[in-house]
Amino acid sequence: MTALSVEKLSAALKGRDVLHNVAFSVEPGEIVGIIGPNGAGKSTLLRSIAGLLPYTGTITVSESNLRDIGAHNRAKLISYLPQEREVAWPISAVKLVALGRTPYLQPMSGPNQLDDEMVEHALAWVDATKLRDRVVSDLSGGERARILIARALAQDTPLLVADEPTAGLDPAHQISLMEVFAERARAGRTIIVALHEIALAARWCSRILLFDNGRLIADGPPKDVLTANVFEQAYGVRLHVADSPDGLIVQPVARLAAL
Amino acid sequence: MNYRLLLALLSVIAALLFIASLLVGPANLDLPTALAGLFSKSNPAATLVMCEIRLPRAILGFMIGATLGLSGAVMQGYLRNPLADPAILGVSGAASLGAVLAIYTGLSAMFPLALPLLAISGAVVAVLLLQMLAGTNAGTLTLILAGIAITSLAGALTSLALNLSPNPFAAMEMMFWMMGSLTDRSMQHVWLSAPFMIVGWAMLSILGRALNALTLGPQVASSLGIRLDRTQMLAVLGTAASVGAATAVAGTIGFVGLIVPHLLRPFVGSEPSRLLPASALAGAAIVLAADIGVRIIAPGRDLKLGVLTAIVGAPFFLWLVVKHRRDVL
Repeated sequence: MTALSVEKLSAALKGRDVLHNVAFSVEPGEIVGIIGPNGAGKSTLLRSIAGLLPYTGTITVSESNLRDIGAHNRAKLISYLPQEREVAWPISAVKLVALGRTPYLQPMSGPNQLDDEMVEHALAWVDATKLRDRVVSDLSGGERARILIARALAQDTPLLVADEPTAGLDPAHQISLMEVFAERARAGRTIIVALHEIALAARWCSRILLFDNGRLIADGPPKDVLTANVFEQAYGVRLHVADSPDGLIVQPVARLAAL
Repeated sequence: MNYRLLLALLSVIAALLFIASLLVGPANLDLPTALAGLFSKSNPAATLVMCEIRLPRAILGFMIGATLGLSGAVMQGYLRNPLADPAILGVSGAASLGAVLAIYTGLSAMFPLALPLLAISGAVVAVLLLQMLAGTNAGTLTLILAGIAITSLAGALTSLALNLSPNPFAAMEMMFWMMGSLTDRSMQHVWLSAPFMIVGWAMLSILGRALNALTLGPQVASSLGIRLDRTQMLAVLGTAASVGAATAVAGTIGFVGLIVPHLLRPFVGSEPSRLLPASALAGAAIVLAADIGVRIIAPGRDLKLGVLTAIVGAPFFLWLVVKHRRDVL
């Protein structure tokens, strides 16, 4: 069974074409890193997959056409974590995470025991159990980011789409977040994650999709995509690549002159 | 504070103020006479005062207060803006215009219900205009801009009616009406406005879950299965029906819809869904209290309810600003 299949996907924002004819498919248990320079169309791709943007082409999630899945059922299949970390009201962390259970609530009733357990699990996954009763507006940026990630994890969907979840986290929490994704992937969940930290992508993703100018220009395991050649073309930077006992290590080291 | 306890406390306060509202008035009935007037026909004069004057006034006070509190909480939650209030959609302004036109044309003198009926028509026109301008899923900023445009237009036309009013008495009547009052309302006003308010409440009260999800922004709310178009439709129509009807029978009563949700938010952990019933009850309590206030502070002078809420509300709002600044710094 394919977790996600994208065919001939094109999308436009405000009349400007952002994605052109993108096609790929993802099996359950994969962690797919979406990388590419600013403006490559990463966020547009993720929002299209989450069903939040109009698009042309076909997106299939858990064997159903995304267009035919109603909003309510879609919320049980796909969770979406945006780049913006917007929280309008000073609610407590545990209440925020519990919003991830919205799709499962019965009419006119509160969360059940399963919902409460998922919320506590999600808090524990992002190492935020001791923040549970704090008001989110009092938290640091990194703490708030982890609470928002926990909200998406609490939604407990086969497909998780996350837009730069590691931005603003310290290295320990970046690594621990990727470990959580790896753990969810082992449990059969599929993770699509846009990343700017190439090193994290190299170390944790099972597969990398590299975008440039709205086109998918490379697709494969990290060691095939994260090469000096590909990086010179897409980012205009020189890439240092090394194999280590800890896996693939990549580091952009210098900007090429003609950019 | 425990949420159920808070709701119970607010219910008790609102109920006590409702009873107090029945007992205050220029007729100076003592308690047994008032009760006899309400529940038996032994004293026709007391029955007249209680059932024809005080009961409709208390019922309207409760319903209009609940409307303002509930719709204020929904508007703030939907627009994710603590400065939003029920008047932001322009519905109250349009309802006021309808009422002013009823006075201007003399229709209200010929047929008393012409005023609330024209005011409700004004509200309906405002909603149609709003839907035309903002569509069903245009986003909150467009909705706010459309509301401002409608408010400005209705305000300009109201000024025009005042400007061209046939005589000073008509102009004064319009001015006084716009200040907002519950004096001399009859059961007819209750029957006329209650269906709209109840339908409006029904639409607004099912929005709790959607408003909670909107805490994380429209994109996340949508990914949580919330249908944004349906949410906007219910928020707009529910506010328009209830606030339009409230304005139609009582004029503009400001600040209640703005301040009540603010006051209650800390007591419900800022959760939008919990704010809805709490704000409705607190709104009812505050309007009932203010309406008792106008009868006690200046008996015989007909102090307008809207004037009192603004006089108390504006300094309170200033205090909120100062407090907010202290919290930010």
